[in-house]
Amino acid sequence: MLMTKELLPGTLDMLILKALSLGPTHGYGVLLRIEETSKRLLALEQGSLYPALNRLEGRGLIEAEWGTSSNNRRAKFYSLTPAGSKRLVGESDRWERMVEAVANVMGARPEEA
Amino acid sequence: MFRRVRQLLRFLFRSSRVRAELDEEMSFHIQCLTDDLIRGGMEPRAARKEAALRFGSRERVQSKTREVRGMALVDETARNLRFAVRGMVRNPLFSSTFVLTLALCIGLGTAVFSVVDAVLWRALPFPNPDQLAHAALYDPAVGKIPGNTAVDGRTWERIRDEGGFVDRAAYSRMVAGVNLSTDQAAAFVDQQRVGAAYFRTLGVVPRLGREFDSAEDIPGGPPVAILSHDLWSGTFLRDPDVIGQTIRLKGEAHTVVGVMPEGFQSPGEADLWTPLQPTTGGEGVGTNYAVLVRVPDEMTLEEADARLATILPPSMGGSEEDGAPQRRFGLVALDAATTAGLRLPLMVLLGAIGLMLVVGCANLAGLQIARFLARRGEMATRQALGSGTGALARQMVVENVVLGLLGGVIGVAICFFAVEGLEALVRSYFHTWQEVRLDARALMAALGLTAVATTLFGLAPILQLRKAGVAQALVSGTRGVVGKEGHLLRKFLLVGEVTVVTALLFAAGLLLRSYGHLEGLNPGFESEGVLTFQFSLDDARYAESAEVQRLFQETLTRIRDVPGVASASVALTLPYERPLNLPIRRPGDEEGTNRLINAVYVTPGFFETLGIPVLRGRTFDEGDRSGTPLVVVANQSLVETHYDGEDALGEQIRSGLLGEEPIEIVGVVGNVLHRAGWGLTGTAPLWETPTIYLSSAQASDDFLQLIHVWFSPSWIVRGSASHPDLAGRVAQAVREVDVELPVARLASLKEIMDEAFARERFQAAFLLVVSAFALILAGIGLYGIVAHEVLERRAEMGLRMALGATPGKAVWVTGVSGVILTGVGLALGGALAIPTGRVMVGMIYGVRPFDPVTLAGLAGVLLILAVLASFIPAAKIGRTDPAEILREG
Repeated sequence: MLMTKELLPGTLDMLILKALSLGPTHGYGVLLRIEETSKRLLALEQGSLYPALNRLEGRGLIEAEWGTSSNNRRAKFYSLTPAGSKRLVGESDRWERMVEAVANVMGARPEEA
Repeated sequence: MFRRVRQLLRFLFRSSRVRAELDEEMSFHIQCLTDDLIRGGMEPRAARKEAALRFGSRERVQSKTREVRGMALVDETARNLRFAVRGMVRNPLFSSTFVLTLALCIGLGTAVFSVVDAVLWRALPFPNPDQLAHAALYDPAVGKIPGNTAVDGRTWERIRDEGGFVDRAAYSRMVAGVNLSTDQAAAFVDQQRVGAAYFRTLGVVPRLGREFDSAEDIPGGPPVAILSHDLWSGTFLRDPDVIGQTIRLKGEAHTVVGVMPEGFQSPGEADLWTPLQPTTGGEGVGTNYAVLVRVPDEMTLEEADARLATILPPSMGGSEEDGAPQRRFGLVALDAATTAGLRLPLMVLLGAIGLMLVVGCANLAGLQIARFLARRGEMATRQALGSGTGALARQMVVENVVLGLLGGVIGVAICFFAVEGLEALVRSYFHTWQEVRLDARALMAALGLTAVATTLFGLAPILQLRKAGVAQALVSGTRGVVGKEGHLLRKFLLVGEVTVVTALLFAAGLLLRSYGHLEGLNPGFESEGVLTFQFSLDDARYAESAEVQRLFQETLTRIRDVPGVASASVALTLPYERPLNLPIRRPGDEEGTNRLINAVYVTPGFFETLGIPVLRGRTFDEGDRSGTPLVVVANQSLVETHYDGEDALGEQIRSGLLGEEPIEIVGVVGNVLHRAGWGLTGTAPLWETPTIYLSSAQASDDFLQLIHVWFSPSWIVRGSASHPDLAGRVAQAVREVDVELPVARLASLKEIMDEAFARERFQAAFLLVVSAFALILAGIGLYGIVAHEVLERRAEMGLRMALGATPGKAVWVTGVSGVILTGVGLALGGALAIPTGRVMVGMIYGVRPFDPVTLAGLAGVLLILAVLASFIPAAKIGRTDPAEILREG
C-alpha cells in the first residue's frame, strides 16, 4: 500500500481533481473515492487532504459550498470549476506520458540500449 | 476574476472564520470515519479513538492549511519586521552608518547628476536644438574656433550677406543692467541686445507682438524693446495693450513691440531685449558679437560648416597675400558653445560624486559582510534548531529591505533639498541659466545601484551559509570557511575604497591649494572699509561727457561731505572685476599691430582712495580735463610687458577707440588684480593685467556711450570710521543729484573680492566635503576590519603573550595589518593621482598638477586615520589577560 508521502509531488492535487470530476462531494467523500478507485492500493493520510483542498480552492480550480450530507449533517461540498476541468485534462496527459516514459525505461531490455 | 479576488481577500483577511470552518469540516470527516468504523464492527469508543488517530493532528492540518493560504508568509514577514527593527535599535552604530551612507549616496548622487544633466546634456529648450550653432572664425594659431565664439562687425556682415543657406542672427552675449522708468517707479533691469530674426532663429515666437525687423536692427534705428514674460507680468501687470506703449529705458523713450512667452529662457536671463544695431566701427571693431545660426533640417551641421568654410573671411592686415594660415568660417554647436567653460568643472564635480558613490557602495557591502560575520553563530544555531535556510534568507531580506527603504526615503528627501541648493549654487557660481529638475531616471539609477550593492552583499553570505553547512559553521566558530572568504573580500573592498579616497583627496587638495594660492595673491590695494555702488550710465541723459563729469563731481562732492567718509572716487571698473579690453599701439609698431591691454577710466583721487601705490610720475588732477593733452597712468605690469620694464614715463601710445590721438604716459602705479576674460586671458582667473588708467574727464562722448553700454561705473567710498548707516547716507547724497538713477549694486569691496573666487571656493569646498565623507566611510570600514581581526586573533595573541610576547607587540601585530591595507590603497591611489592631476589642469592655478605637497598632505591624513582606526580597536588585545583568553580557548 502506498502512503501519501510516497506520491510524486503534485500527484495528490491531480487525484483530488479526478475524484471531484466524478461529481461534487465533501472531503471525506474525496478520500473514499480515491481509496476505492485505487483499488485500495492507496491509503491517504486523512489530514493531508485539507491543505490540498484549500490550495486548489485558492487557485480557483475547485469551489466549495456548504450543504447537507447523506447522513443529514452539515458538510462542505467541493466541485470542479471550468479551470479545474481544464487543468485535469492537462495533468492527465502529462501523467500518461510520464507513466509511458517510465514504463518504457523500466521495461527496456539489454539489446535495446 | 472577481470571484478569485474575493476568495483571495477572504483567504487573507477572514482567517478566524476560515479556521472555524476548517474545524467543522475536520469534525465532520472524523465523524464519518468513526461511523464507517462502527459499521465495520468496531466498538464506538474504540472507533472514535481510531478515527482521531488516523486523522492525525488537527492543529497540524490547521497550520499547514494556513501556510498553503499564504498566511504563513504574512505572519513570518511581520515577525521579521519586528526582528529587523529590534536589530536596528540594538545596533545603532551599524544601522545609522548604513542608512546615512545609503541616503547620502542616493541623495547627493542624484542631485549632482540632475544638475550636470540639466546644464550639459539636456537638449536646449528650443525646437530642434541640434540644428542650432554659433558661427565664428577658426583661430589659425590654435586650429579651432576660440571658446568665446565671438566675431567682429565685418565678420558678421560677411555671414549676413553670404550665408543665405542658413537662418542667422547676431546678438550680444553681454547682459547689462539699465535703468527702466515707468510712471510708477524706476527699476534696474537686465537688458540684452539681439539682432533681427534672433528669436525666429531660436525657434521661439513672441507671445504678443513681434520681434525686431531688419529696419530696426541698423545703427541709429528706432528705439524699440521686447519684454520678458516676467517683466511683463510683474512691472506691467500683464497689460494686454502693452504693445505700442512707450517705456523710458536708459533715459530714452522706447516702443514696446513684443512680449516673449512664459518660460522662455535663453543664456543670459535678460528682462528685456533691444535691437543689437551692429556696426563695423566702435563696438564692431572688437569681437563683440555672437552669430546664432539655425541649419535647415535637411542639412547637417557638418554640411553647413563645410559650406560656411567657402565664404571668404574679411581680410586681416594683409595675411592673404603673405600666405599665412587662412582663417575660415566654421560652426560650433550651440550647446557646446554655451557650456564651453562649464564642462570640465561640472564633470569634475560629477566624477567626485561618482567616486563617493563607489566608496559608499563598497562600504555598504563591507558593512553587510561584517554584520553577517558577527551573526554567523546566531544563524548557525537557529539553523541547527530547525529554521530553514529559506526562512533565514527571508529574514535577511526583510532586514535589508527595512534598512534600504529607510535609507532610500531619507535619500530622496536629501535629494529634493540638494537639487534646490545645488541649482542655486551652480547658478551663481557657474552662471548657468538652465532650469534644474530632479532627474527621475538618475534617482532610479542611484536607488537601483545602492539596492544592488546592498542586497548582493546582504544575501551572498546566505548562499555561503547554505554551502558551508550548519555543522561546519557551528564547529568552526569564527574561524570558518565563510569567515575567511568574507573577511578577505572586505579587505579587498577596503583597499579599493582607500584607492578611490586617495584620488578624491588629491583632487580636493589640488583645488584647495589652488584656492589658497588665489586668496594669497597680493591684491595691490587696501580692501578694508571700502563701500562701492554702481549706476548705469547707459542713459540718454548721460550721452555727453560733460553731463557725466557733472554727475561725478557733484555726487563725489556731496559724498565727501557725509560724516565718516574719508575719500571717494569713481572708476569704470573695480579691481577683481573684468575691465574693458583696449587695443593700443606704440609709435613704430607696424600697421595692424594690436597690443591688447585693459583700460579703466577713473576720477582724480582713485589711487588714493584705494591705496594703490604711485611708483613714478603723477596721477590725475583737476587739470586733466577735456581740451588738455590726453594723459594716462600705466601700471607696472604694462611697463614690464610692453616696455621691457624700462622707464615708460613720457612715452606715447595710440588707440583707435580713443580717437587715434597720441596719449602720454605720465605716471606708473602698482598692479592690482583684475579678472581675466575675453581677449585678455591669463593663467589664472585673476592676474595683474597690463592696464592703463584714463582720466574720466578726458573721455569723449562716443567712447563713454560705447563703454557705458557694457559697463556700469562704480562709486568707491572709503569710510574713515565705522558708521552705522554710511551706505544710506551716501545713497541719499547721490539722490540729491539725480533722483531717477536707481542704485544697481551696493556692496563692500570685500564682497566683490569674495565673489571673484566664488567658483573656485565652491569647487574646493564641494570636493573637500565629498572626499571627507568618503574618507570617513573608509575609516569606518577599516575600523570594522581591525575590530574583527582582534576578535579572530584573540586566542592566537593570548597564546603569544603567554609565551612571552609583550602586550605592546600583540597590539602592534594586530593593528599594523590595518595600516598596511591603507598603505596598499594609498600606493594605488597615488598612481591615480597622475591622471587626476592631468584632468584638473584647467582648474588649478599656482599649483603643479602633480603637487607633491598635496600628495604628502593627503598621505599624512590617510595614515593618521589608518593608525587611529587600526590601533583603537587593536588596543583591546593589550588590555586582556592572556590567562583568561587561554581558558576560553
